[in-house]
Amino acid sequence: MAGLCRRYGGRAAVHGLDLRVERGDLYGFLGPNGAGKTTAIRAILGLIQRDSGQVEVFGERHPVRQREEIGALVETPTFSEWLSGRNNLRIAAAYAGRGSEADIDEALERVGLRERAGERVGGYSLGMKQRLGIARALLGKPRLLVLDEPTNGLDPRGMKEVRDLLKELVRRDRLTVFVSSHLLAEVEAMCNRVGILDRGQLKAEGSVAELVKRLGGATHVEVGVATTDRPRALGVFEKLGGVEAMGEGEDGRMLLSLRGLEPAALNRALVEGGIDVGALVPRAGTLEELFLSVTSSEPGVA
Amino acid sequence: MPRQFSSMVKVELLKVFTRGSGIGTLVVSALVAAFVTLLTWKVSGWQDGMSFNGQPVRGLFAFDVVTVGAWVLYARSLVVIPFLLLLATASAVAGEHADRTLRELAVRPVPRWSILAAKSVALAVLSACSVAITFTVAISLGWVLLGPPAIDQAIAEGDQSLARLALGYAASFFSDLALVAIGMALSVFVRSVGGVVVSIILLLIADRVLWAILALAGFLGVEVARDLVQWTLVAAMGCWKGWDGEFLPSQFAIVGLLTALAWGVAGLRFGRVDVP
Repeated sequence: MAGLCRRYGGRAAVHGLDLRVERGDLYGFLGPNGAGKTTAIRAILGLIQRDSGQVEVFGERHPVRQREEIGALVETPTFSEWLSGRNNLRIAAAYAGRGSEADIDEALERVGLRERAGERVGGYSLGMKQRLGIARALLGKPRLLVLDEPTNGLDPRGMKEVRDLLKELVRRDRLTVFVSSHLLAEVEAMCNRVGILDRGQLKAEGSVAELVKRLGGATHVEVGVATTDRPRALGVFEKLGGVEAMGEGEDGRMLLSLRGLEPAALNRALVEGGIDVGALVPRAGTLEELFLSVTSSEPGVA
Repeated sequence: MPRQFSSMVKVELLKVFTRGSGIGTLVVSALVAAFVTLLTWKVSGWQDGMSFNGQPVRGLFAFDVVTVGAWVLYARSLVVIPFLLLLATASAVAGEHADRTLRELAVRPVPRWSILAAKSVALAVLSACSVAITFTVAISLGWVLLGPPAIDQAIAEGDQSLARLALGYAASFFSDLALVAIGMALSVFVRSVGGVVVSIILLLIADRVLWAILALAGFLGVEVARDLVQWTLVAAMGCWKGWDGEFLPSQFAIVGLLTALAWGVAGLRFGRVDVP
């Protein structure tokens, strides 16, 4: 996607958005509420007109032919509620021009709904509808899955099942998955690459580890010292410089952010200051820290 | 046309024929036919023993299967069935827009206009079924209750009068297609079932006002107004009325033109509209 722009009235929902998802990626699309994630997804799927910009899917620029490769789930999936789950999938298969009864059975089996496929969708729970929406996106074996908040309404077990399913689709079926979510831990656990959108613009893109390293510029460590030694330890940090206490880590250890300072030098300074160091654990930056550092706190447009 | 178009029509038929508005259209079509037929039979019974200027009334008015079929055709073309058909159209497009199920179709690899085309074909089949049910119930029940076409009705045409009545029903199907196309165009702009119903009521009121103005102008001697009056919507959609006289090709041409125009507007607009 290159230079995507879409304005609503006088305000830009997405502005000059460039995004690149590689084949085989499980790409996490993150952003605060109103950052423009859904607008971008709708533009990819051709649901909204673009003011400018290009979308290319596996080298194809024609919007109808692009959609032959895409399975999609946008926001809360909607269905013809008076029809059965199976009939809803038949509708999707008919419009997709692919997806036999065996494919429908396979998609239902994958999301655990085969037994209840004959029931009216109106009687389904939110989680069942969400799973049926995923089954619909999987119909006809698309090469790219575009999923907007696919774990909405699912319980923790259901969320894990979806995560596992998406990983399996990438690993076993060689699918490319583009998934938007507001659940940072979920994206961190599942995606190999992420893009962070804020106020309609991409603020960061790459692997989580790479981004934390590139954007954070700091090393995080957890230091275990006795509670009574903490005031003295803070004095040592102040003398050293480049050390910022960020709160508490695991098991009550102090969580520190180091800038221009190696963990070994910190350890040496503490020992020389007469403080016993029970543990010194390097800790990678989190996606949450990265997210908060690159996004603004004010809401956007869409 | 996308290669999967026939499958699209098939699933649209499934939706149209299982939705309340579709079932309602078919049930009301049968009920209207049965009710009007029974009413005609009852009225025909009242003639027995009645006289006018010393002459028995029976025989002055022909109450036979053709009469019944004609009355049912008029009843069908009044408010109820066109309204239900319009409701079925609005539910298929504006309703799906409002409940966001249209989005699930718009993400599929088909041009937007083909979605409307598939829905139109399904709604046309619904209309054809409605016409067929109405005709079948009226004629079969009318034949049983009132017997075959009366002799005086058949002086010139004989069975042909029944055949002409069937043509009238076919013409009312043609009018239905225009209604579906207009309902579809309104649905694309208004995007809610209630909005479509209100819009069509306003459209009909405007059409009747225009008709009255043109009719008055024609009465006052304005020649062009007499020509233009047939272009009003309701006048044109009454093309089926020619069954017992003369079908006017100009009316059919106007209805066809209106249908094509409404479909064109709907297709162009739907191709550019944002789907929520």
